[in-house]
Amino acid sequence: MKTFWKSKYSRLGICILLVLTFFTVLVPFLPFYDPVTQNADLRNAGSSLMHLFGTDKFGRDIFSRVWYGAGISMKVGILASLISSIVGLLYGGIAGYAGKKTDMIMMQAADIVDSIPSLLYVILFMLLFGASVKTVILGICISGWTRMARVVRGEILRLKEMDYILAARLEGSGAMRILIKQMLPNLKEKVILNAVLLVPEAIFTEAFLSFLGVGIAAPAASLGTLIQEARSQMQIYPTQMMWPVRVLVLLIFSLNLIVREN
Amino acid sequence: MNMGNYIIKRILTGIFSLFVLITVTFFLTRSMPGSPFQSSNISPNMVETMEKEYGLDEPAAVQYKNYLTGLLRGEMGISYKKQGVRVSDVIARAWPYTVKVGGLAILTALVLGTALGICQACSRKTLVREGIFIGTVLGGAIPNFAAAVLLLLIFGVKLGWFPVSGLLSRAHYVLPVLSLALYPTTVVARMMNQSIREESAKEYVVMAKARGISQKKILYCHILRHAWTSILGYLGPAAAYLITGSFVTETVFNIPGLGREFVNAVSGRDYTMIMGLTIFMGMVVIIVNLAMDILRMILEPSVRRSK
Repeated sequence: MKTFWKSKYSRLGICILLVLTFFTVLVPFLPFYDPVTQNADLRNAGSSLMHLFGTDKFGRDIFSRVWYGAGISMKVGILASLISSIVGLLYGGIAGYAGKKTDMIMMQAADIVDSIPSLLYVILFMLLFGASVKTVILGICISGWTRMARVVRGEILRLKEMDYILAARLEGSGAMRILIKQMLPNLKEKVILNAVLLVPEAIFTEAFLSFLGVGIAAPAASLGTLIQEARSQMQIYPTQMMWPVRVLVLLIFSLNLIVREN
Repeated sequence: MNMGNYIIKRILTGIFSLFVLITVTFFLTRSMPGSPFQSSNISPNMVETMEKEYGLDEPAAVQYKNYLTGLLRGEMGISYKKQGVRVSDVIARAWPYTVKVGGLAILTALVLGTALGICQACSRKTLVREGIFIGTVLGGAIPNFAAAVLLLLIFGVKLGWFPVSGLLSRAHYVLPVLSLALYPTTVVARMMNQSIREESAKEYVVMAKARGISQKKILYCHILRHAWTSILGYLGPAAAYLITGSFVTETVFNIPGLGREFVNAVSGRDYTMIMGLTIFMGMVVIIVNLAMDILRMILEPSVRRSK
């Protein structure tokens, strides 16, 4: 966290993210409209005090839907990043620590996973297992782990040559102990940076899938689903699409601001 | 490792990747639920006959072998949904559109991104540097489907500056190309800025400065050469991005390319079409990756050593 607080842009990013999180967490608890209740008398309404962002073609409150959707998008982003990071950490750790042939074969396999556009796989995966939050997360993880694995492996290879690791080995520490106790603390910064970077990428992928109609399906609706739903009447009611687009862009913008250095 | 060996090894992994791609795609598509011919107004008898006609009654291993040998001859089977239409014909008809839009998009991204990256790295005005930084982060935060739809709404519908459907004239290209180029532009700008800064701190640049060579000459003759090789490494991922991005732009702007065919195949659950298109698009990306890796090896010896 300290490293992220250093530059003013990271601070700006964190502030935007906090505001977004605040709404996402609080809106479901406050007496706002239910995001799935339809109201036939109030379809396609504009912004008003009752419905801050207006209502959609079924009379559902867009304000509630947007923040529920943001919650789903965030959940997908965080969980996908977490799972990918753990897999990448283990994979890269094993490859880097084992070295030699094991390392070569494992990294070759990672290269192959990387060489094929992952979205193609993810789409097939979604068609095969059906659209749900769980499958989207797993689908993103199919290829999400490779960069983390590469980073971790590179670091481990570098750390392995250090004197303090040799000292630990001479002391009789086992591989697991060295990896966790000696190496992990030195990896922490890069691992966290990479994990944060994975979040907006996962949110992007999920939104893309939902926009194509193979991502998260109704009644659950992520920001991508909301944009997809509003597309059919974007020429008549463009604001219905603008709200989820704005929140999605702000969300990814804030996350990228946090990790990118100027 | 010498270059010949590296290139042979790289080509072998490329071929292996292709094999993995085909195998995974084949078995994933084959295990998708339901018969493609299942429909309420078709008798079970008819379904059986049709499955026989498409070779679906044989065991998976035989089907796989048939598909592989077919692929070698450029055969990708017949569409399940459009009677009698061959997948390879659809690809042959559709790819020029995708390549034209994608090629223009990557060209735009390279030119614009390089210019922005150089400005950001070299400008002495804080406002310019930070403006470009914020601009590229913001541009990179707009998903391509949102960019496509927004451009269409603003410049196509509201202002009416550009046509929004099909690829009939030059003006038709503007919006799809821009929406597809947005994200790669921000990546190229960021990479350019980063490598110019990294290179500027190196000894050979300091040396060149000490010899009295002008800033401009150092930038254009020395630094950019290195920056470009790192950009070459991005062209592989960019090809992947352009292909998947075409799913969205071609659907939004109604362009009859590979992307729209793929989206239609997905929504219609046309499995042979999905399989053929996935394999074809994956193949293109693998080949671009391979070519760029080899090109980088030839241009930049340090890449060779690090492998």
